[in-house]
Amino acid sequence: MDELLIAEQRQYVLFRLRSEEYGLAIKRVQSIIRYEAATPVPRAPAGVDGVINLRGQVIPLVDLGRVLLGEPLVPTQASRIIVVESSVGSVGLAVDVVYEVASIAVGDVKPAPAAALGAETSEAFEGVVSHGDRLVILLDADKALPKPVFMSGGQLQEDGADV
Amino acid sequence: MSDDMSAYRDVFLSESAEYLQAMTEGLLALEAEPNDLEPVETVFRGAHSLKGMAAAMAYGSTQELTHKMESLMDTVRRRVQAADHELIDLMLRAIDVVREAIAVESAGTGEASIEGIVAELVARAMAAPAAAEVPSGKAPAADTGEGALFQARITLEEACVLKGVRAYMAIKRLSHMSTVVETRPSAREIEDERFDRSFEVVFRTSAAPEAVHNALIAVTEVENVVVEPVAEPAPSASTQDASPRPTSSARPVPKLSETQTVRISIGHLDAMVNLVGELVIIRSRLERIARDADLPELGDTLDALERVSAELQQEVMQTRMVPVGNIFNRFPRMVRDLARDLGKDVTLETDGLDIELDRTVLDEIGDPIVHLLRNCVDHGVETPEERVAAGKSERGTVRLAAEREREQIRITVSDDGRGLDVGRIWSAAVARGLVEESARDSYSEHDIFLFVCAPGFSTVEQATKVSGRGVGMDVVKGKIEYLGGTISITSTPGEGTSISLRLPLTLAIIQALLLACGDQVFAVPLSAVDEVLGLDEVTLETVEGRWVTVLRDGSVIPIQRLDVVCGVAEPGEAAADPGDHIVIIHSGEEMRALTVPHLIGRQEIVIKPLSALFRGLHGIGGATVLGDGHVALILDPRTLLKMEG
Repeated sequence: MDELLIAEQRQYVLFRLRSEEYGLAIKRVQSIIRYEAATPVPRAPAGVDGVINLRGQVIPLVDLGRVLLGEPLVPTQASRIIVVESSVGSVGLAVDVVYEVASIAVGDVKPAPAAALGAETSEAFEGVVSHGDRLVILLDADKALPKPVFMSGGQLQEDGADV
Repeated sequence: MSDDMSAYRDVFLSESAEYLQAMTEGLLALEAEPNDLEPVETVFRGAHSLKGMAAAMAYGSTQELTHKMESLMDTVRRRVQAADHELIDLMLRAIDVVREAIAVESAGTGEASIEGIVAELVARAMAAPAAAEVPSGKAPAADTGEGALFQARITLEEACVLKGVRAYMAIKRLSHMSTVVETRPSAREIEDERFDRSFEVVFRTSAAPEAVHNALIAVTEVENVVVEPVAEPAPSASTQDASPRPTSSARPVPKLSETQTVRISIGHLDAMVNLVGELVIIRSRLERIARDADLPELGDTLDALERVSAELQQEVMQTRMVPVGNIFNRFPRMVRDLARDLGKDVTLETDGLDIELDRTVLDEIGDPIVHLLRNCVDHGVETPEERVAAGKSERGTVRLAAEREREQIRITVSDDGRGLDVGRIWSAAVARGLVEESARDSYSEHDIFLFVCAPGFSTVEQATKVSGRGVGMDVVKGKIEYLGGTISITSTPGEGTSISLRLPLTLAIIQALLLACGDQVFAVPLSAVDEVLGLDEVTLETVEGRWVTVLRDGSVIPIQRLDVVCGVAEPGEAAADPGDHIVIIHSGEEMRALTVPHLIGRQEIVIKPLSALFRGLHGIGGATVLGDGHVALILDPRTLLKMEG
């Protein structure tokens, strides 16, 4: 790898789901707001809680816990929604706690160990990095999102594969 | 590139596109009427203006090419040579190259290759065959517009404070349904409030005088309106000269927007629509507060706010309205080229070009219309030989027309070709397993035609390069339905096919009925609601294990529980709980009854689109933000009716 690239620092928003720690590239993060319950949308893709009102804009709220760990978020005072700009527009990601914005050197990022994480979810990971004494999993926001429900010919597809 | 320069570039790009469009139209008009010198002027001056603009931008290739086009048109203008098909072809191709050259030069990605076309233009200009016969052409038809001439005398209330504004709104409303010919006093004087309480407007319309009257009287603070027909003025020398004046024609070429219009970036308009949407939401929030607090004074002020914001909203929505002519004018060239490729002779007639439609709707329907027109030319219209054999004229006609139908617009694409074969479409539908052969009697001809919109459906044995691959009609139907419209097809064998698209005029703000189910609120577009009934007004029965509603008039409608549709409850035994209401909704011809636990009422809502994450979701069409900040989902009757009852 290029010397300059290895030394390049990128900023990540670090957050926690259960006992796991994750990071999202800050350039994709639009805002971080307090957690609020979503208005449920019937037959939404698994992992999508529904929609929330973000200053007049209606955006989907994804329960990242359900998507990545198969366990729904249990809202507390510390819970937050990270609003990210994704390939399908703005999306809210519900997480347990957001604790810091950190600079991470590109050269320190290691490939995600697919075997340990499971093939299903590992493609959502850009890599892992040691930060202090902790191991942080860096997420690719687009790939971490549930897939849209495509319904054709009037057939309902309600798959709950990852729940 | 500096900011200044890029601002000039944007202006250049939009203006040059208008000139090129005017030149294309001029060339097509010239092809139809080779002796008419007016289009020659249009094309000549268009090229001349473009040359000057390109020089100012230092776009060398564009400048050189338009210069050569101008020279060639000059030979036509001086009647040194005739405007035959080859010349028109050459000029049209040159216009395409100008577009490419402008694209390349404005992007600063180097020089466009124009040598080939420039050589052809020069060769043709030099060729100058013996002076073409140009008999004294007949004067182009006077532009009389459509409909009859009327006069409206509008009187404002005595207490009216902003007379100029009210008069402007009345004239503006009139201009939506007619062509305003003149006002007395002049528009300027009206604007400056230099009139007493009444003023007169002369206009031309094909709408009923009563409709005009009703529209005008609905304007706030209009006290009285008298609409009466006016005699047509005799054609005077000043409006239309009998002989063509080739060089001294004073008509500005091409037609560009005059000073009463300004160019506004679409981003600003969209932002305005969003802000007005927010305003509507805040207003309803305030209304709630006023109601809860029981403050009459606040209530009165809110009424005033409501009036003003409603008008503001209407005006803002109006700024997004664009005449369909903006996209329809691309099509004559396309149809011409396509017909020539296929060895057919086809004229495209257009009508209703001044009908206005919301920009977002208009942007979306361009491609579907292109597809329908292609189908007409490729499959509908026969070859000249076939047409003659069938006793028709050699030249086929394709028609593209827009018309207003109350709050909808209808766009019809029709041809006078061979028509659809009901039998073949039925067999193909059976063969593809879309229907049971035995069900033939329960399908009307109209229903059968709609099978051509099924995915992958095509009865054409050999797909042509233009159409017939069976992709397309399903996409057309999908797009129209996405826009909240419907599609219908009629056809007579040997006489032609007509496809009608019905579309809403605007998308963003609608009247809705709010329903509640548990603590979740849903909205149904009021336009889809037929009736709201009590449980005691209907009879519930089961037919083949499914619940249906029997109305008093004996009609039978399938029934669904709102809580089940919305995923709040599991399907149970009962079709309704005590105290439920029955809301009858429809989509197209189909009806459905919904049992609803609570009715909240009627409200104006701002439609917010749902994220692409929800794409393909049945039953829900969008969302809106309620007065209390909560999100309510908007039911989509069209896809809702497709769900199992």
